[in-house]
Formats: sequence, structure tokens, C-alpha cells
Amino acid sequence: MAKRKSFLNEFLRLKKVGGIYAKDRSKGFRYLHNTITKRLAEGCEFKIGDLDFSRFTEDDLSEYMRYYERHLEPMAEEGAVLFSQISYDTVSFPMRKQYRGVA
Amino acid sequence: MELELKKDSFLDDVRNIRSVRRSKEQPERSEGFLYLHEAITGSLFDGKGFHVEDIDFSEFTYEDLEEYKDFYNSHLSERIRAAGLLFSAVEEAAAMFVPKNSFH
Amino acid sequence: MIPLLKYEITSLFWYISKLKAVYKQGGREAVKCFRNFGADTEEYEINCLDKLENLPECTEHEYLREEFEDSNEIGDICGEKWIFESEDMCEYYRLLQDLSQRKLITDDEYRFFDSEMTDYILHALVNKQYNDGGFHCHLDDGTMPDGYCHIEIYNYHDGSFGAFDAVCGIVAVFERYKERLKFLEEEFTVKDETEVK
Repeated sequence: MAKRKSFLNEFLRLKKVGGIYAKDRSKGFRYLHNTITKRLAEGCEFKIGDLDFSRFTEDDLSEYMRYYERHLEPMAEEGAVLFSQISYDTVSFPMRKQYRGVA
Repeated sequence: MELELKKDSFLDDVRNIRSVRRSKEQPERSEGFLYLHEAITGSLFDGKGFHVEDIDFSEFTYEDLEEYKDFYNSHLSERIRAAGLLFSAVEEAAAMFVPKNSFH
Repeated sequence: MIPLLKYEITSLFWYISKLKAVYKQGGREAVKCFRNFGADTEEYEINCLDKLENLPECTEHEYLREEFEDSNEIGDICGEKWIFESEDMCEYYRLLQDLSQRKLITDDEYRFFDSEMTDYILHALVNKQYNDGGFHCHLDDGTMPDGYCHIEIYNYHDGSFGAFDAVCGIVAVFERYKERLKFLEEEFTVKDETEVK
């Protein structure tokens, strides 16, 4: 059954970029994506100690950093901007009252 | 920024905002867009306040988010801030008010 | 999803890339030092300033104050100083001197092993810092009269100081002293025992 399209799934799905298919990404690249980004995206805690530094090369890390900055960071930024705007706007919004006639 | 402070127009305004969910007059609004709208306005008008931790990121797409961001900035942001300022001012005034007599 | 919205994830990757470079050069202990650091990198530099003082090799930490000529006035804090030492470091230099004096290593070998550690300190610790006067490092190998074996590092507040890089560097340096001491002992003291027999 195909995964329902959602912000979270779109964020975590490795995209075809610059002619490189997701299946062609190195094990190290995938390891970084799963251990850091996926964990954080699913709301789990991440610590440096969760990383096995023998499972990725410096090139894998550079490649993943480029991928994150170009394709994932803009998505996260959109969410961050919207929700921080809402948090700012609602800081004075009364929380204690029901508004009759509105529901 | 100015809003008329007539009670009816403000309530109507709020009703119109919330009714994006109810009326479906704009059929192009996706389920994800409606989810965001309900999650945000619902939490505000039910008195719970907005908390980003309550948002389920599997319930809307990136496109929904972009669409809602435009909608929020065009229609909601100014109104919510104005409402917040108004109610803060009223609460502050009420806190200073010491009624000496009953008013019949 | 919230952590990805809250934290600077590209900054996290930047720190991970620094640790990967340290790991690649053999700094396993240095990487382990950060195992409890999380995704919020805004705390990293402050946490690392605390960590410097709490490293097992740190024997002293003091704040530096401005000094005024011809005055007893106490100046404002202008920097900090840490002193680091270890038994392995001291034994390394003591053994080198001993091997040299007993002619178990040549003068060239002595200079090689001596400069090898100096070069490593430069590479792992000093050269990772900005060169704007905020960071200073002094190595005393304990061979001079009145000297004692230690490393001093200074953070002058009117310049830049990378606490994260300083922790990585200090831990890696002392890890290297331990490895190289083991090498010297295995390579030359076993030979020494064989010759005595």
C-alpha cells in the first residue's frame, strides 16, 4: 500500500536529485539520513553518541549536508516561519475563555 | 492597522474565519489545509492556545503548508494580533477597575 | 518534526563534520567526549567551556584580570587560563630524554619524537582556532630547570575562542601522548631489556 503523501513523508523520502536516484545513495548517506534527520523528524531525541562515526565517510557527510541544505532545510524553514509567526501572534491571545457563538 | 470594534462585525469576522472549514465554499481547500486551519483556530477559540507540539505533520502536505501560510498571512495574522491586543487591554483595564456601587 | 523546526540542523552537521575529522585522525576519546550533546547546538560552546575545566587532565582554571602599571587596582576579567597535564605526557618526555641519554635513540630520533608531538598540538589544537589573539597555547615539556610538564591554554576575551575545538584538541592531544608513549615503551624499552640480557 503506497504511503499517504504528507509533509513528514515528503520530508523523509529521499528524492532523486541531480540525476541521482535515492537507491544510488551510499550506505553512509542513508545512515546519516536515518540516524539524524529521520530520528528528529519523528520526534525522537538525538545525541552525538547515537552516531557510529565508522559508518560514514567525510564525503558521505559533505554530500548529505548539501542535500539537507538544498532540499530539506527550505521545507523545515517554511514550517518554522509559519508556526513561529502564529506563536508570536497568539502570545496575547486569551486562553482561558470559550467564545460563545463562534463554534 | 484599524478594525471596527462593533461587536457584530468582529464576531462575524471570526465566524467567517472559522467557517472555512464548515462551508466548503472553496472546494479547492484540501484536507491538509483544513486540518491546519482547524488545528490552529480550533486551539485558539477553544481556549487552549496554540502549541506547535500539537501539530501532526503527517496530516498535511508541504503544498498545504505553503497554501495555508499565504492564507494565514492574508486573512488571520492581523485579526488574531488585533484580538489579542484588544483582550489584553480589556483585561488590564478590568484589573484596575474597582466598582464602588452597584449599577441598576 | 519539532526539533527540526526548532534547532539549527545545519549547525549540528557542521559540528558532526568537525568530530568526523577528529575521529579520522584517531581521536576516538575526543568524539566520545560529546556523546551526550544533543541537537541544540546553541548550547555547545557554553557547555564546552564547562567541559574544559572538568576534563580529567585539567589541573587548574583561573580568570585573568587586567593589570595596571604602578597601581594596585584590580582590573576587570579579560580572559581565562587552563592548565592541563597527565602522567602519560610527563612520562613521554621523561622517557624520551632517558632513551636519548642512554643512546638508545639517535639525536635525529629524539628530535623527531619531540617535534612529532609539538606538530600534533599545533595541528589538533592551535591551528583549529582563529588567529586573532583570542587563543594562546604554551607547551612545557618539563625538561628545563624550574619547568614542569604541562600545557597551558588561554582565552583572551577580546579575541575569538572556539571552546568546542579546544575540547576536541586537548582530548585528542592527550590521547596521542598515551599512544605514542606506548609506542616508545614497546619499541625501545623491550629492545633495552633484550640488550641488557
